[in-house]
Amino acid sequence: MLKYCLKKVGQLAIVMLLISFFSFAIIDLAPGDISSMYLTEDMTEEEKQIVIEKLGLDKSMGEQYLSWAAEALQGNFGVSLSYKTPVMPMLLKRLPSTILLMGTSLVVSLVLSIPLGLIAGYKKNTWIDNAISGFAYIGMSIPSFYFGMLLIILFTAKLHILPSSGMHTVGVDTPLDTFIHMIMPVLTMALGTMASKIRYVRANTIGQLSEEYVLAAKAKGTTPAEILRKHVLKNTLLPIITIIGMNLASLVCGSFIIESVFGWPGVGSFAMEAIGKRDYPVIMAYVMLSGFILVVGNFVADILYSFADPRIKRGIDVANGK
Amino acid sequence: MKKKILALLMAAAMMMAATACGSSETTETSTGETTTETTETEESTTTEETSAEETSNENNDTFTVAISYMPDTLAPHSGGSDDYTSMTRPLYDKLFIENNDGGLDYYLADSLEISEDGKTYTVHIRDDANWSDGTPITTADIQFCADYSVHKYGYNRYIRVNGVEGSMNIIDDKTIEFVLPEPYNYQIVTLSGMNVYPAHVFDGDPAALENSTEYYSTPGFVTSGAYTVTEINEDSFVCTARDDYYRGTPQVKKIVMKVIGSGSTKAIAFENGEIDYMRITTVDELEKYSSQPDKYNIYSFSEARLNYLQVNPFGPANLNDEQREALFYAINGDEVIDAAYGSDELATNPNSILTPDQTLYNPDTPDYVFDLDKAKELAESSGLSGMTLTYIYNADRPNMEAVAVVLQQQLAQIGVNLQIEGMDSTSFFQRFFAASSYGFNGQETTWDLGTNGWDSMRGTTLHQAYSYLNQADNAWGLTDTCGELAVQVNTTSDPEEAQKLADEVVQLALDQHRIYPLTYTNYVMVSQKNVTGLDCSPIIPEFIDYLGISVNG
Repeated sequence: MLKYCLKKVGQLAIVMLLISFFSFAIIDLAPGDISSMYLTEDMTEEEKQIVIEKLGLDKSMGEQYLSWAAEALQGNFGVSLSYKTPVMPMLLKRLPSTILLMGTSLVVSLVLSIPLGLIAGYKKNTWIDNAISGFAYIGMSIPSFYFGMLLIILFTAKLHILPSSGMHTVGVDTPLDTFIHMIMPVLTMALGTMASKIRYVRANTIGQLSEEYVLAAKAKGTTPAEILRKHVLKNTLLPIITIIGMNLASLVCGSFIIESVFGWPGVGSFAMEAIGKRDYPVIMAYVMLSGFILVVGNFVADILYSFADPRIKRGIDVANGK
Repeated sequence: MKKKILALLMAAAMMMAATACGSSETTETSTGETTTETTETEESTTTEETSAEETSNENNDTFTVAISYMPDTLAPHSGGSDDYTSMTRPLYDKLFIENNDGGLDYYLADSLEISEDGKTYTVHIRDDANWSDGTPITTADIQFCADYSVHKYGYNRYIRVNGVEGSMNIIDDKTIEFVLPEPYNYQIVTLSGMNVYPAHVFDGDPAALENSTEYYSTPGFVTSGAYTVTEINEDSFVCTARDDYYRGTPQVKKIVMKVIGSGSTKAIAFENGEIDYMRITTVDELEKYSSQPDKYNIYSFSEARLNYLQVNPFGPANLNDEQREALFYAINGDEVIDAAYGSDELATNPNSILTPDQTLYNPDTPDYVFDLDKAKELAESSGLSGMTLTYIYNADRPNMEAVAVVLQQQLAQIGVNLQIEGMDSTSFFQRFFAASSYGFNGQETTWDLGTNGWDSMRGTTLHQAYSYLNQADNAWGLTDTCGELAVQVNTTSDPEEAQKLADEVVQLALDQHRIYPLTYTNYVMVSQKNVTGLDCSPIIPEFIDYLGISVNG
């Protein structure tokens, strides 16, 4: 198992190196740079040159990448070119807002999708299954920005019961106020992500229900609810571990679209702003953070898998000659 | 089972606690005064009241403004976008600004004297001008601005003309002279754009100002404007009126700058009363809000902006004189306004590369004439017909996409296929100004036509048209005479002579068919009915003067 973990860590390092290099290259190839924020037509050539040199934009892409990578390896992701302030504190400042929003939507989507998936699988090919599957298809198909706007129109413009944007009402500092601001973005996020989870759980439930242990439970007179809860549920949650592992990145990095539509002051909207300004230290820190969490999330999911399903751990051990 | 229910309840409690932690940060950054008010509000908050409090109508002395993002610092010298300028308008005053009538509106200064030879600019700072911590604003603060310029650029940009520095003489605590090496009318624009920094806060050290992000992100930092920042939250900040502001006490006691989601969210937030005003850029919006005069006020004034079409002298098609002439004959300016803006309230058809807000503007400058037959004839004879041209525009600017589509249709009538490329501001500027600002970075050869805009075109100078006419490296394809004349306009101290030269250079530039003035745009805003005075100082970015704005019950 240790060998397996070390191998994964090695892969992680290579993936991070590749992510950083390609991200840097893409930013460099993208048209425009941050100097457009600083250069004006009335500046002299000298002034323009000074600005460009101060921003480090006079160096080649390779030089810029190497100097960035050398600092990044020491945990220093540089200084934002637009704010002239270290990047990491800026990201960390926004992290709680994003974790709160994304974490809540993850919990909501799990809490709703698991029972719905179980019911859909148990009631396979009935109107209940069709209704739940239809709901899942709608969730998968509808663009999140569109669904978000629909919610805003309904709850803000028509019913006047929820605020359209932001995280707090100015001057109101209560958990209830934050909760009210979270309702629409959380629902929007949850709908999009729960659809795939419902499908996974449903498919697994159908598979598990045909297993012999379910037949044995039925023979013992166990009620359908108990079969689902005590026996089937545990075995259907395996793919959910993978999905949660993959969702870990969005938990930390937020969502460009949801945070922009709802004016949520999180990491996603911050990165969106940085992309608009070509503030590459911020963009790189964001990409590295999201890449790192994604890779680590998958790694953790793999480890958890082996604990959740001893067959996998045995398979790894066999592969390693044990 | 009971244990599981208990676990679920515990989990719910943890989520609520996490939510509370998130909001407690706000209290920590609040001032004592604000925290007290917050506590009072909390006691009476219910779900319905929370929603109701979003509406500014409940708060007669609060003006709520939508911002597109939450800045990490509110330093006067950070940013550069119109959004950022608007955010910091309540906090920092300029010495003076050029108004739309060709005069000056004074703020920190109370007089500007220009010597007869046009070389000495004497500024007197108001005796009662003070920082929000009570310290008087003096010439030491102006000196600090000059020191910061030296720190940043290596020279004092406030006394430098064409690479030569003059001198800056402090006469007394309130009077300072800027002596230029040669007459330079643009000096008014330079001085009116000066950010005045508090020298006493940074001990006169420009390096400390350069690294002042933390200082300017903590409530209570020193300001020169009518407001100070008293609260900074994750998604908003609150400006509170100073009671010692030298120009009087603002009627609006609090300005809330709040992040509002993108797209249509802003319109919904406005209609829901969460924000007090917003800009409108389409005729549909204009008609919608104009039809409800009992609920909304409409404000419209000149944006002092010229949007224009530029023919790129380095474009792949390398259009000759006859081809450019054909293009300009094919453009129907009135149709551009009708189709892209839909109303004269939003934009008008220009006749010059100067705006009516500039004293040098001449209403008699002849406009380009739309003549489709002549355009077709020239297009055929010059070989323009059948060509494909690349057209770029800034998609972040309102109505630019619609203008592009109209031009595409108009030029199709003379057999020109316009390939349209919209892009964000950052990409656009690098490409459009490749020859003039980015030292020929290769992107100057990737487009034939482009639309750009010059803002703040007001006052007594040629303003942005000056650097256009006096182009570096033949960036815009004009003859050298244009540059020589523009320099003469900028250096003459005789207004009549300046007008004569301005007329000459504008006409000369137009005759070369490089620039086609497309629109003079108006800045149209809609506010809640109880908000008045948004046009008290019609300068964009909004609002240069908050003293005239009021929010009544």
